Amino acid sequence: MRATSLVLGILLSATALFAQNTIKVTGTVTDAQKEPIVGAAVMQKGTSTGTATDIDGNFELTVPEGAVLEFSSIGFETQTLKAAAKMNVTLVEDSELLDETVVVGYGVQKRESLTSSISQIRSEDIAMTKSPDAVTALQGKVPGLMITQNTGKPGDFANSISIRGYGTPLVVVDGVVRSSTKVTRGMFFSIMKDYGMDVSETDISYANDLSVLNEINPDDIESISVLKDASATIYGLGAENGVILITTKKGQVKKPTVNLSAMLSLTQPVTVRNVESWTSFMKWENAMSDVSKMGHRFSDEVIAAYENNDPDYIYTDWYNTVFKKATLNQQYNVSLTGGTETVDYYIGGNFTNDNSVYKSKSYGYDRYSFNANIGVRLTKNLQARYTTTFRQSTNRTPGSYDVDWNLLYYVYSSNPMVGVTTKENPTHYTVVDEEFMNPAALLDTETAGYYKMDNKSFNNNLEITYNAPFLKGLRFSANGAFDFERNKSTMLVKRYPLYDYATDQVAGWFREETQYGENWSDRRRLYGRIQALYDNHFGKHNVTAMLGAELTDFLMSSVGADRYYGTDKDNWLYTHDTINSGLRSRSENKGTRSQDRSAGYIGRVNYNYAGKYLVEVMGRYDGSYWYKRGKRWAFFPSYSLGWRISEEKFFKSILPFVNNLKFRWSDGFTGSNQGSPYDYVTGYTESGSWVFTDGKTTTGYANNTVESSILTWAKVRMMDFGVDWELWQGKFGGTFDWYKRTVIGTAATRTVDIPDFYAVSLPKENLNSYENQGLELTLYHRNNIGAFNYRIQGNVSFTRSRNTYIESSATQKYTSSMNYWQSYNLNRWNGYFGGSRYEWAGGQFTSITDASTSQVLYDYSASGAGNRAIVPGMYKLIDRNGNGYIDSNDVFYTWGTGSSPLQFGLMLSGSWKGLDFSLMFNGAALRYKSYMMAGYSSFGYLNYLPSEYTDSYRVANYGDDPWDPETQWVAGYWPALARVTSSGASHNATYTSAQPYNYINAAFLRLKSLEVGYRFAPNFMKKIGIKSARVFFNGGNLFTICNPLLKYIDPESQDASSSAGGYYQLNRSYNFGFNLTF
Amino acid sequence: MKKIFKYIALSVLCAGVFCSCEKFFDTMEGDLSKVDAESMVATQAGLQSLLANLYNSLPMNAFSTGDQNQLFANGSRSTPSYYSSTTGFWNYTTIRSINKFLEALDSAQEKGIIDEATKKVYRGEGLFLRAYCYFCSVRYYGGIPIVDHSLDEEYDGGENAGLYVDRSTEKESWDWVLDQFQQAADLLPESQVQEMRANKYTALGMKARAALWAASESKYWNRAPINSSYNAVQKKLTYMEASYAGAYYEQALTAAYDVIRNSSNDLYGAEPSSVDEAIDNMKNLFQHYSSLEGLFGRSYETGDSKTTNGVNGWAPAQCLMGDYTGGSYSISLNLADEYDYYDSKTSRKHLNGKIQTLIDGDEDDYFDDVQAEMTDALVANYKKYDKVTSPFELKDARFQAWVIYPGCTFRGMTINMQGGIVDGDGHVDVYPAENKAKFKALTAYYPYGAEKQEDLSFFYDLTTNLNSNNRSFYCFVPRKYLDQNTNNPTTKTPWYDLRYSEILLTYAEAAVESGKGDQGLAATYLNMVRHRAGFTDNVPLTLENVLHEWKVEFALENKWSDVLFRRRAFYNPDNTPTYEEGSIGHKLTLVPMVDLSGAEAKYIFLRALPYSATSHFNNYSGTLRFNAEQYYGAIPNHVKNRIDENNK
Repeated sequence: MRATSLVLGILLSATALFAQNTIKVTGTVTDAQKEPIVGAAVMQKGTSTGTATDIDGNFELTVPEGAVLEFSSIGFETQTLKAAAKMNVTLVEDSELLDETVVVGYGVQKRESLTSSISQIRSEDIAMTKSPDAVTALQGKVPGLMITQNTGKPGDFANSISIRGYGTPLVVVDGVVRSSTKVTRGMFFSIMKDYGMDVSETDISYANDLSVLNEINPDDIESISVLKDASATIYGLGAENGVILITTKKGQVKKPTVNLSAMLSLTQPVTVRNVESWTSFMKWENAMSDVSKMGHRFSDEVIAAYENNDPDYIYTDWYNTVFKKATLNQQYNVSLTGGTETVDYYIGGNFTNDNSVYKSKSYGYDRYSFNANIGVRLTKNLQARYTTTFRQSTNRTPGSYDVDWNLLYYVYSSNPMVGVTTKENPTHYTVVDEEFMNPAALLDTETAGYYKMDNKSFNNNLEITYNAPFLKGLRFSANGAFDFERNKSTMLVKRYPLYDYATDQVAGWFREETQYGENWSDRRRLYGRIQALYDNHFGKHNVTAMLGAELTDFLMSSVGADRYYGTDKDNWLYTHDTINSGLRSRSENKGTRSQDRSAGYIGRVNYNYAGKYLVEVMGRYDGSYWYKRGKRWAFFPSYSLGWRISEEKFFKSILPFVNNLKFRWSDGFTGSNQGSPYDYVTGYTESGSWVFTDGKTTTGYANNTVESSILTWAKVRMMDFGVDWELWQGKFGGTFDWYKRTVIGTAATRTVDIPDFYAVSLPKENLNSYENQGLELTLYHRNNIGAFNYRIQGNVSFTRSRNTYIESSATQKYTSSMNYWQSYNLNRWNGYFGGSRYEWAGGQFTSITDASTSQVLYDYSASGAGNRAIVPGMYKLIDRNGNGYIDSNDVFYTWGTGSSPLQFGLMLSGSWKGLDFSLMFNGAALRYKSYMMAGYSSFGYLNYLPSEYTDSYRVANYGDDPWDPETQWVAGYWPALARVTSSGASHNATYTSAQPYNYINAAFLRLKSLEVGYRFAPNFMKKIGIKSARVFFNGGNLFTICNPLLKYIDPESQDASSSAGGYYQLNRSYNFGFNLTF
Repeated sequence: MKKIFKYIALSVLCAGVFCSCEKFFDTMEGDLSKVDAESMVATQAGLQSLLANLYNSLPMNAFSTGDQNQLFANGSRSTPSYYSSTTGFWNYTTIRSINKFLEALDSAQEKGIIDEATKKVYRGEGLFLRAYCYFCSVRYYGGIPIVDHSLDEEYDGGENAGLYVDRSTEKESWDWVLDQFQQAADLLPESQVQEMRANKYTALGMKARAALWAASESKYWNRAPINSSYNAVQKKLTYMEASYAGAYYEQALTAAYDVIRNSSNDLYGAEPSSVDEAIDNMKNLFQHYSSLEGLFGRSYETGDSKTTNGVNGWAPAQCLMGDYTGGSYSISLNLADEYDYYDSKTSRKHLNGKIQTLIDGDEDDYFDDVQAEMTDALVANYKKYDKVTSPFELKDARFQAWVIYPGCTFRGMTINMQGGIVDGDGHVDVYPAENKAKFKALTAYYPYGAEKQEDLSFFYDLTTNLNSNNRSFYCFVPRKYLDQNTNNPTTKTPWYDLRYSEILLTYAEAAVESGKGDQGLAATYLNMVRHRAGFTDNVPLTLENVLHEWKVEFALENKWSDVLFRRRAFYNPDNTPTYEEGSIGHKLTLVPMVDLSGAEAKYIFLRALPYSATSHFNNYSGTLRFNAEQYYGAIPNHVKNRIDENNK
């Protein structure tokens, strides 16, 4: 159709040339709101004659009579009209997905000609969720992009991101890979090492760093594309997990426009634990002690005293001492955009402030960012574009690392019968537990110190494009980037005294010594790329081609120093938090440097015939310095095919309402780096040390490896079959994808029997393999009912993986089928193979007698032989192997506790006159969460009892002996509660985490965001000089549908998997804001 | 179209110039965490660094708490344990490193990095280190596979025949180890510039230790004979016989004599003039490495302010700082009883060391459950001491210097370890729940020795708060390695692996066991060790006296387990009467009590089983038998290594 009119147009214009009868066309181009569109192209169809609208949307053009004019502008649907003297054209906003241009690797393509699985999301959809980081703003919106929010800690952004369950993707910002493959070992890890924790340094060094996704201001983003299949392979090695392409906003040819927005947010934890009152707790605690055969912790007099509000007994509500009900955050954006034919610009500034719900300044995140994008048309054929970003962020956490991990634990381990400070002195913090962890003191930066991370990054990008005048459709471009980032972390951990509540005497000290440390790291990236691009059509043959080469050089260096202030019990002095203030004799320092390079040649050709038959062939010749010479370079080809059956004549006549139906297939190769860099060099590394003479340590060096000279990258193949459809001009549409990725040759060591005497581990080789498979479905619907416009989009992703080869010893013996099942998962889908929990036989033990007469033994350890210690309420379990007792051989498979293989999202948005709204749901399923009834900060040890546990088996009358077979019990969900002697201990076999009642289906659906906005009538606003004004309310994480037990332990976050409510919880937010445009 | 290709070709060319494949990667800095093999051996400093790793890999077991498992001491909150802490060395990675080091020396000399003389020293050290490692293998596994060169070239991806090394017989292994020590001694200089490196006498001293081990094992193998039908016995892989003993004792005597006669080493603080001087000497010896006494050891004076030898947690609760847990190493009353008394501070002749607690003198009696069994009526039978320190004042200087006992002064404070009170009415209260004061002549006396919890080290809060940190249920803890003066969490005291006194006792034991050597000299050597501890009299050269000296001189140095192991003398009731040396009673503690029943406050001491967190009052659980087969460890990966397993 399009091609026909094209030919027609050429013919017409040819005719026109002969006729020579011209008319002068004048008019205005406006949008639906009657706002002039600046810089809209007005072209005589089929010719290069044309003009652009001016700042008021006006244009003037002389064309042959009868000519056809094409009115187009980015973001609007193109209109084709017959030329007339006076033309006032209204362009309809291009909400139409088909004509949309999509950012792909090293270029853009029209959606209709895409042959790969690429999803793109625009700024409006990103802005639907209000969040300081871009990752949270993407959640649930892109099919196949799986995001789990792990924590609500300000500035932490510990989200899990993966495309189709593959692993951490590559992040490309404005054409440059800006996720580093190497990360410095943070100060945090060195602290953990200082405290003797086991941290593998190599693991940390090579983690993929996606911090750019967290730091970029979501307001500066124009669009985000997610490359999910072979289309990602154009980025070469490292792109095997897919690619996220971020394009920031550019200038537009229009009058200077100022956009101002401000937002205030109230945030609070999503999950607030409901706990028993202190008097109720004391009784429960005594009852639990009875079950554990321990003495009562609280005498009847004490309980009575609290019940009667005896003023001699104080009660401290530690939770409310530490937590606020809500905290206030702010976000401000200002941007200036505009441009003419020769210069366009976008300048954006942002300030974000994110606080914690603690009554303390020890947590917080601030960010200032500045973004500028300036395009200049230097000559007719030469254009330059400069993009720069400057960001500064500060992230504060308490100085003592253990607070960060365990604050809730300390809140609940603190003794409520003791005040926050001593009776006599409100500046003296009290001793509240055995570990000297007074939560209020820990969060008081004056007392305990601080940890502060200060990050400054400066990114620059210059692109020069040259349109070859001698060949139509040929362009050359050169792109250079220089990024610089400085990270400074400072840490002060103070030693301070804690006092006895009653006597006001020093009862102990927190920390053995005051310590101050700084760590500075620099990262510098140099990037260069040259490209030749060709885009033309010959009749119905459309050809685009691209050829390029690129290289990156990345340098990282860091230096750090620590000093201490003395260990003498009484005689030490803290003065200032500078390195020089510490003791010279108690100092440490460290420094590292590393380099990372990559290079590759890129080539791609797209061909389509009449927009019907689509072919893309691409390849990349890529290298990696990780391996030995000769094992470094390889060629990775890919291709994809598409057939738009809807363009076929027969199809159009049968199903005219289908305006698009496309089948796609893509298949391509890339590589995944294996092992670690320089495995091929047999080098000596530090190993132990020896003091040959007092005071002089000689560092030892050892070499216990042989070179991995045959190791190279794993071969990755990505396949995708997809269908796109759209009916009734976009009223209904959707996309379906099936995909598979195979990874062949992940690094492993051959398991041949070698005697100990060889004493060297065999080199790594490319031995193992695995695959991922999955499905994705997106459906959308848009329509308008009168003035009410609405849009609904839903997506579902399901992904899974399995090992297809595991190098294992031929002589490997499995002791039982259960042992085989648990330790060997070849060809079995991950996430469902784990034998991880006991299976419920139905029913609970209703009494002591019931438990002790059971045919199946639950506790057969030497100390607790038989079922004598099994409490009423314990669930009856299936003895799978029928051996008469329950042990790890009786566990059964179930969905795991890792990431959800099934995730879904739903977006609803609509507008009616000035009013607009949007709703975003996100959910996941096929995952369980372990409640950890006997968990670290669960019940039975600390000074609180979560109310949900009161639904447990319990003696009918307070004080009854639970071990008397005659005692009456009241039934409940949980087994009878028992007191334990240490944190995380379990009373007996009853409370292990693998019990059926602890395993809770974590499927959930969460309203991630809800937004309601109102745009004020433009006419009224214009009078006061404002083009448009909008106010909005946005709510984040407003409600969640899930198993009621997970109301207290978030189904989404990592909370509870190990700490039962001890993690920094996700936030619920209430955001109020406005946007102003001048 | 042709034009297109022309331009594409042009841009490819540009790109080619832009990036010249391999070179772009070859010019990178590389992995800065590694040093390549060539640079590593290009300088003497590099060779030293390799050596540092090798010394660090020695199975020295510094500050291991192995002695806790013997008669003497115990982990504070656990049930007493009883097993050998002698372990085997099976680390062919270290052996490979040593072999590679030895192999690198020739090329280093060729390249002129080291001269002939330096190479001799390095080679001597390499041989010494390797012999040290294999010594630790033989003593535990019997005959071992001796790998004396690196096997890197032998891996062929097929049968790998060159990688398999068979076990030598036990006797061959011992002979090889002794020969290697001798070869090392022949190469090494009389002294080294750096004191923590092996010299000629280190190698000879180690040879003496190994020879005594081989000799004792030969002589006493039959005390714990293993089934003669076992393949490993048939092949003599785990077999020694009495007829070998004489020659090994002779080697021990010769090597020890060489060290005593020719080395510049001597006893630190020999022949002190008073008990106090002896105490000071014995304290100081373990504060800083003495190269007079020490033939080999490990220094923790790293120059780094934070690294420590990790023993500070052994200190009593009163000395602990921050969140450390202390009191984690206790000493039993049984060891305290072993240390002799001086008859007086002036004449300093020895008397039996059993602490006198009862008037009737039945010191073999003790309480199982002291809290329940100690009655008011029994108080009369107890000896009343004026001070809580009275029973310890005339003890062997080594006890006073190396053990923290009730009432002693440590780091400027009095260490309070008291377990109860007899009140004015003669009523006994052991381990009371509350530390309530009783008064005598207007002075307050607390059951636990002091009022505040931070001034108490032991016993307090036992029955109600078992998880309380810093509690030990014994009243003695090690002092030997702790910083004597200040509460310093970075204790850096050294570890002696081989002391001069061990050489003296080695000579004495070899002489008394074999009848060879100079018996008079042997008696002198034995008494030199005693005199250094302040005693003035002499004891005759008997086996019993020599073994007693091993116990008291090397307490907390993990030697006693080795003595019992090599002498096949662990407790073994089926094998009477040969278990004499290893016979054990229950591990006991003293419970010091203040007695206010008389005119003045006095102190009594109860012998008792200690309270335990896990089993209320401590007692042995399980069997105490040490089977003959436990003298030979299971061979690691014997199937994969294609060698014979022990005890099969």
